[in-house]
Amino acid sequence: MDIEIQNITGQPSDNKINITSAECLSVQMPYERLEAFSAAFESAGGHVFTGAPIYYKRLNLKVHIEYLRKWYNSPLKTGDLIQQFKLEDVISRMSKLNEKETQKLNYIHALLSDSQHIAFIDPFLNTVNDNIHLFHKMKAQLLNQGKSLFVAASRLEDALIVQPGVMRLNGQSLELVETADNADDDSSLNISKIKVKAHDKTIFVTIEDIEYLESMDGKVYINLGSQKLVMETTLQGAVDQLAPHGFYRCHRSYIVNLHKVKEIITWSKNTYSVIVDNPEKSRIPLSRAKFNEIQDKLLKL
Amino acid sequence: MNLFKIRATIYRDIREYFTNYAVITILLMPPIMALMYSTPARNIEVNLPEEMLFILLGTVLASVATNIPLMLYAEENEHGLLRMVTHTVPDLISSISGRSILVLLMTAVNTIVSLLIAGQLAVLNWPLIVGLSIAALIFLNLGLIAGLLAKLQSTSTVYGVVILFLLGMTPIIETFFLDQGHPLMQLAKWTPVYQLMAIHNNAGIMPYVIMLIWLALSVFAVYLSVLKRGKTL
Repeated sequence: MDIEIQNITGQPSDNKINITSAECLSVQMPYERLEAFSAAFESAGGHVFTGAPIYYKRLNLKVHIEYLRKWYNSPLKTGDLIQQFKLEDVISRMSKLNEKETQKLNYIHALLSDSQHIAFIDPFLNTVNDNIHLFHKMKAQLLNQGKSLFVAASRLEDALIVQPGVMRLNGQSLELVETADNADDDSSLNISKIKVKAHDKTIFVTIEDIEYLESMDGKVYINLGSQKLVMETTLQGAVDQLAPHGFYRCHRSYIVNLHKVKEIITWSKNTYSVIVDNPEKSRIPLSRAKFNEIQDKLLKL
Repeated sequence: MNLFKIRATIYRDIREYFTNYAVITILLMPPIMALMYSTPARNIEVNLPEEMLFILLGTVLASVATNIPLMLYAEENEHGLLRMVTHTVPDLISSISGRSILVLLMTAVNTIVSLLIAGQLAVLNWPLIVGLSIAALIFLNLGLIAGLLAKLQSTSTVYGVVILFLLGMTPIIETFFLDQGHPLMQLAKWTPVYQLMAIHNNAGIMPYVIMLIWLALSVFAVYLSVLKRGKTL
């Protein structure tokens, strides 16, 4: 299945997104393009699932699964799906269930769907870790069924939860998310603050308050709780500067403050996340190669 | 049309009937009305007047065959529920077929139960059964048209009540004691329930012809509504 990029971006382009059976594509794209992508994917014959599942509020989960199974004439069994997706309450009306449970209906629906091409739009917004595990289970099953899975995420860290290789949609084509540049910068030790820019101001940020840094579109962003500031350096420069303060480059595009790490989650064989100890429980991608090293560093911290 | 999808829709709608208080109320309304109308007649040992009998039959048609699909589609439109599985016009046609089969079945059951309660089951003869079947299709089509085009449940209630009073309970106009030549009376004589009354009174082929014209027009309007709704799936 091909989707013309100009249908998503609205800019002239001959490029197409080629979606092949039994393959997964994880793409980061701006939030404002998700709707156009969704429409283009559907008009090409794919089935799109958004973060908010559609359901009949008076019916229960079991009836929904049975209905979808009948509608698509799927050979999958309702009982097996209930067990596999750890559905806790299949008797109560959907209106009485929490979001964690209703989200599971989308995963089940994707497995039952007769469409060969499945897309999820921002599947990890407002979700819980248990459901991300279930998403990975669903992904493996979809690929086994020979279906394609396309994940469109507005946040890079969400796209990286799906798989290590992530693409980004720019104005005219899809490009592989590249390694942050490795330019050398002088590191300065024994400092407690760093300088960042916010509009026309220069702010001095206490290093220990930083949760993590990310590189996006050639800029380095510092995440301080609810604040996000731009740092005028490269990611390599930032790691050189911050490594002595317990910072670790856990991914090509991310540096995490090890003091703020709450846990490490293994989503699948190749995908890991570091969970930051903040109210949002931010999920930072962790490269497979860094999985053992970060654990050593955390133990020695 | 896909048989699996038709069966799935029937399965889901049956569950919906049992959990949706509005649908349950609509299903109970004609039998309760039959009881209310027939009890005084029975007490004074007279037959239920013909107008009342056909108001009852019209109410079954307008409430069950029209209002149930109308309400269900309006709710699905308002909450975007159709998009759960319906993404193409053939899908929509399958879902309409499943819903229609169940609604027609419920209309038939409700008609028999209501007539039984009213003690009027004997009025059912083959000509009237044929007439009622055509009328059920007409009222079903009215429900589908209004339901597919309704964007909100609140507006669907207005459509439903208008159809119920104007087309379902048409014989109520007899209680206004208007002249037979009055424009309202002339207009009423073209409505489906009046054709049923004419069939009951052995008025020949004309009532069937009028009802078939109604049916053809309503089928065409359903076709247009499906095309229009199909564009926004």
